[in-house]
Amino acid sequence: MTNTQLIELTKKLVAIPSTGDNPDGLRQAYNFMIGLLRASGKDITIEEFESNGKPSFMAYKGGVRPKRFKIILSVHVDVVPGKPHQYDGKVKNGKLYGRGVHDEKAACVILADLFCEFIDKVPYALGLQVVTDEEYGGADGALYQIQQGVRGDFVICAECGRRPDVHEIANEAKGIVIADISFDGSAAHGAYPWKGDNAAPKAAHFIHALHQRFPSPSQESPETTFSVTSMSAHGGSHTRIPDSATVRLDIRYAPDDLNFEDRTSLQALIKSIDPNAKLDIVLFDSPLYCSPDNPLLQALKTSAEAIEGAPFTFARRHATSDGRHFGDVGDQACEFGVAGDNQHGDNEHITLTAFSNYRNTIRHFLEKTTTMNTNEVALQPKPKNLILT
Amino acid sequence: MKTEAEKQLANLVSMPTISADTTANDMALDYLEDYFSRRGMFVRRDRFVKGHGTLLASTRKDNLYTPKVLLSAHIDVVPADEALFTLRSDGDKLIGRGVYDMKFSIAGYQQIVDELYRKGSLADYDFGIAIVTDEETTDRGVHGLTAAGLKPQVCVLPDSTAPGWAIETIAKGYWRFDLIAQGRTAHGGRPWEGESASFKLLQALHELKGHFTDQNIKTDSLNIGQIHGGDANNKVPAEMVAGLDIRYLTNKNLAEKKKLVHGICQKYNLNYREYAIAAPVVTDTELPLIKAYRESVKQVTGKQPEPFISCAGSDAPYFAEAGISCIISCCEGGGHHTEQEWISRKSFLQFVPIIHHYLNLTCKAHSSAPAVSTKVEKV
Repeated sequence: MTNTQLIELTKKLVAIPSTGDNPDGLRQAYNFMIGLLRASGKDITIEEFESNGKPSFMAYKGGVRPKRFKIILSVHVDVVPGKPHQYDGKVKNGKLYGRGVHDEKAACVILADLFCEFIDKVPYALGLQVVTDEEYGGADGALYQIQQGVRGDFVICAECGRRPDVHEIANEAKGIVIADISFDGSAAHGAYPWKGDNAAPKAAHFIHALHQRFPSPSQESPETTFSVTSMSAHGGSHTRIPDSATVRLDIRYAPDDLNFEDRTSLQALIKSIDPNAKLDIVLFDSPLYCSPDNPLLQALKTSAEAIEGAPFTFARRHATSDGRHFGDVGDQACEFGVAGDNQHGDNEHITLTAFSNYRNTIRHFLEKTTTMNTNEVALQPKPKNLILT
Repeated sequence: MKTEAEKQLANLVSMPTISADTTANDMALDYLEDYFSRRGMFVRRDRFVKGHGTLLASTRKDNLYTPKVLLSAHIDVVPADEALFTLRSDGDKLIGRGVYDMKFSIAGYQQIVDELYRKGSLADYDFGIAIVTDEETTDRGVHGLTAAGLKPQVCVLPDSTAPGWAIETIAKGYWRFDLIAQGRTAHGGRPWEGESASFKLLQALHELKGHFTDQNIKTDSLNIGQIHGGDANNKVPAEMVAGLDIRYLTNKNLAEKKKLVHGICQKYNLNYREYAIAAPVVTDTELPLIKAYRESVKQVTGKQPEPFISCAGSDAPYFAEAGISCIISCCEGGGHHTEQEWISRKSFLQFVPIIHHYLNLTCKAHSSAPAVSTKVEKV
């Protein structure tokens, strides 16, 4: 297929509102990906999984899933909610705009196409993984598949996070904690604040203190960051004192931050700010890691440099991906997606050059792997300090 | 043996007149219209707010809108479990949704009308009754009535949280508004690429709360009633909203609070959207028609009613805006808006004698109590 055809397919995929709260949209996007593989006419096995209503699949050659894939191309079709106009993908000034183009529907289309192109060419087990819950932790997608025995020596997560002028492959990503911090109070009429115990100011005070401990960086930072992604304190009206308040935090922790060594240390951090705050950990995932010496990672780097004409470096990312789930079982994963900008934002976009570069880089990489001795890929476990207890 | 007011209170409590249930409220007004009409009152029904009806009754056909004394109440209540819609007693306490806020007063008005009708003396009095059905929500019923010309010389409004029969001399004004933080979305792992609405709002609330310490009945107060925002685990939210309620004692205080909020909005780049505002109501208890009420309370209870500063809202600001004085005073009770809403039966049984005495002093033919004026703080 031509780039133009693939971009049109990307726009069709963008038009599907496959947000986590829209099971029909997720299913449509999932079926769209199956449709791409079927349309290739290749003999491809699509092994379907489903956990808690979230579908996912592994595609591979032959009727039986290999014990280990040599390379897995991993994508997710779910997106975070966008504004209505964002589901109408548009090309403007050399850029493709739309919800999910950067994170990561363009990569979905490109990798599906390349998977079909190379499935009969590579002398090893190549897999395409498609999931529908990456934005919500991946427990029902990548993690569930791993629990069902899916393994890979080298996983390329098509995760974004790279601007077009940044030449890097993420072989590390910060760990992630999604947690609810809740505060109790007691209800009363809002006209008599002294008769109740308002939970909302406790939450505000907590965030103020947390903010002082972990200041928001104004520019890209390798340090631990946190975001308040949602908050609710419901008195029912302006005139009633809310008896509970909950703040949801998205924390990206540096691998060497001891506050996140384990759940106990996180609990201690929260209690040091407010002894009465209640911690409910929704997600506590380890950092992603791939050894810089991994030959397949090195091969990917060489391909990227060849296509983009610039030296690539390995980097630590701030947003993690489904690759961390593979890391937990000793498999190595990296993040490498289509370069773009404003991930999750109102102006999410990729450049058409980046679209083309990404396609050419993965093709170059896969071609190279057809002749390289991939058996030299040794399993190298993560450093111990990165493994969570 | 139960009084007429007690019987009627049980009837009224059994009606689930939750503000949003306009059908239940209409049925309650039907009941009251029938009750008052059968006893010689002249009744008019209106609907100034979509869905919410009002009832106006008068002893005289020609002065529905200008009775000397208006007995006012709202019949709507806040939601409650079904069990609370059956009146029960526990010792001296009568418990049920709306007993205190404020169906006891309507039951009392019914007994007064019934007694005067049976004595054949109803026409000797110049008073009216106004019942609205939206006090707990939009507050527009009274506004509609006053805009239509309702202008009594004084309004008895037993919608208070004061101790039994105390008179509210100051009812705090209220300013309800939404504080709105808008930012720029970004991935939760790359907060520097966005502008967090949640940080801005929470920092602003933290600072605003610092200006309301040691809150009590004699100070202005702040309630953060609700906060909501955010729609994904890993997305910096673009908007977050807090619903706030500031109660204030004077217009000078309101001006100060508006300046404070405005300053905080500028500092954190927030906006606010006004939801409702009502002026404080100051009542001079030395004014003749108020003094008459104090005299009636003392006559029945043996005690002089105390002055009281109130924090809770009522329809009084809307009457006050129309230049109508309110006597905000009620029987002993508590737990309004809770599962334990109650009134003292002993205190409740004093209500009818107090109002009866007051009507005799103020609006019975040949009574000569002079008109009063009220100091209304314009917002």
